[in-house]
Amino acid sequence: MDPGAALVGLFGTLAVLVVATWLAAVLDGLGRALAVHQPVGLAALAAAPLARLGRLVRRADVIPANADGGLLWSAPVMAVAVVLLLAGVVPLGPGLVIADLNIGLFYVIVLLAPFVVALMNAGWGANAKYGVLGAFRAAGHLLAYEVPFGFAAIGAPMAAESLSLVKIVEGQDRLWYGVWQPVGFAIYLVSAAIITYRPPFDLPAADDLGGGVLADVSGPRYLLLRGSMLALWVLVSALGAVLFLGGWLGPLLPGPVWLVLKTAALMLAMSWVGYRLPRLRVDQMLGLSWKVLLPGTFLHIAITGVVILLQTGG
Amino acid sequence: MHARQAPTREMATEDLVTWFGPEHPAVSGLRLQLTLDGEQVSAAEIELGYRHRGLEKLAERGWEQAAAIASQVDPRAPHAGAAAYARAVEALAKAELSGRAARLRVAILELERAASHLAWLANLARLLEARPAARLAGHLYRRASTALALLAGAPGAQRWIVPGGVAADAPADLLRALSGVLDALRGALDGLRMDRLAERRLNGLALVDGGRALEMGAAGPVLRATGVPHDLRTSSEVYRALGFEPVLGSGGDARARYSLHVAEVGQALTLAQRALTDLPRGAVAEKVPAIGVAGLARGHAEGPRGELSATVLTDGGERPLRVAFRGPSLAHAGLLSELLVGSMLADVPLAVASLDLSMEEAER
Repeated sequence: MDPGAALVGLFGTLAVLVVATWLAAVLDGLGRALAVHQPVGLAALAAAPLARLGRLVRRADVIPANADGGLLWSAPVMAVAVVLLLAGVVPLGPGLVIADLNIGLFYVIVLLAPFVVALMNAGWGANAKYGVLGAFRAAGHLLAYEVPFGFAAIGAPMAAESLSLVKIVEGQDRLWYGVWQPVGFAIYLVSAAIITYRPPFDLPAADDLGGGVLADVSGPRYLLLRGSMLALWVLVSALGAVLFLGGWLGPLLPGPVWLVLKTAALMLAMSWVGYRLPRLRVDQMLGLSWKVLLPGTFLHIAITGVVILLQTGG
Repeated sequence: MHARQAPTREMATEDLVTWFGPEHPAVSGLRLQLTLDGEQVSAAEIELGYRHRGLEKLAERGWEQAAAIASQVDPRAPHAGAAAYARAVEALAKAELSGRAARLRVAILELERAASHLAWLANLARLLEARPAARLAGHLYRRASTALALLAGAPGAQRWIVPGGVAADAPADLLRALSGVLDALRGALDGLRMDRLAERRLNGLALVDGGRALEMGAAGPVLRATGVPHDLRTSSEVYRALGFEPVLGSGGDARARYSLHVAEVGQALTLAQRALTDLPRGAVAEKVPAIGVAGLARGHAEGPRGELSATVLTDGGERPLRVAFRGPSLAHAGLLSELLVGSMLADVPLAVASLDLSMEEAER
């Protein structure tokens, strides 16, 4: 690829991500308003993230006296990098993907881990008690979602016989995997909510820690970190649509529109359900991950395997 | 203390000492020093002194001053403080209340209880992130406060309950309007019930043992949630005539307190409505002079957070010799150093808020 095309690709991806982040913030607000039965206008919902953006851009970037400034700054940089690297593999339509990797899904799962490190750096770099506690919560978080997330997602490549996200979408032209893999789909959505620190799983940045890892993050750093958390939510939801809802497949409308609609529907559902639930305590969240989600994924893999065997007549 | 498996080679760890408060959504004016072992609280010490206003000394300046201060003892329950003080002065002067005044006082105290409990429910639900319940409770709280203000005037300068009766009568059309508001409030209470997740989160949280609570001097919902039937209203004739029976909880944990508060809001609204229907006619106040009678007298009122009392000592002069107030919040705060040990840090705000502390009242 020549450097010019690469630059155009990079800035194009960035622009799409910024719009996607804004949409994510709107869907977040809409889900919240629906969950608490609060009447609110769409215009107000659409404007709120922009107003917030304006405030955060103008706000001073305060680095506390005892904090490690480098570590604090590494957090948003890492988070944005993860989001950019992930955005490249999500197929928007037939041929509309920056990189159709043959290890696509594996690449996604590997890249999700550094996002936690970004949040841990924010908490640890603040060199403050609540930030450090938040960083430890984020570390406890990591394994608790990574394992069920991977096992839930594996049903799709099992059926498509490929890790490539494009091949996975193409494998769903007759029936979406989410329809006959409901357990895996449900567990995928829960662990996706955990990965992206959606409520009720936002404990590393919880109020009871005064904001936790985000307590000492201000101004533009806050904007970048919060923004990349929202962008990650979009990407993981889009991935859910790709793995379980047939990605861009759909009648009449062009492929990318279908993917956006499916992603938005998943996000709205996650937001609405999430805001209806009280935040989980760290022990409750770990219990849910290891005692419910993980055994559930084993069941999901077993059923998927049997179904595939029966279909292929083996 | 906690059964924990000892690893073969203990890694050296250090306890983290951190602060909670004095300003926090869970409580205002209380500072806790928490020693944390991981996320678990291994010691909690309470630190006081953030809300002391020297009210008892100020009340010695004169009778007018004392009456005004009584309603500021617990700023979230001004009428209960005023009622306790009024009863003390009435006991000094051996004055009797008219039937109408007694019923109006019941109505205002119950409405105040409903409003205070609703504010507590809204706060606890918010800390619990039970957003629909928090929003509903907040909305109901504002409606109840408005009803309270209709009856007794603007909040902040509550001088409605005065020695000898109440300061102003309630006109008939206001009473009819209030009755409608109370019905609407009671009808909406169903939405405050806990869902399963909230229930599980509150289950066993900040568990108070009934015996220990009595020993520490706890009162109000904190005590009744343990099943101890202690309520000052039981011994009041007006309340008995309205069919009052104390609501009791079982378990003594935050979950029991939550359900008890919801039940008490319903009960308070019913009592207020009964108190306002078929009000006996007559004067609402008679002059009860505090000057000229000597002695020591005490008055009580069952406030939203428990028993509030005012003690007045006078030689019959221009000003009281000594005025003392007492409420349950200091005892409840004292319970915290025991309750928090062993709980998770994420539960600390909930545990503290579940006791409904008024540090203003605790420190006077």
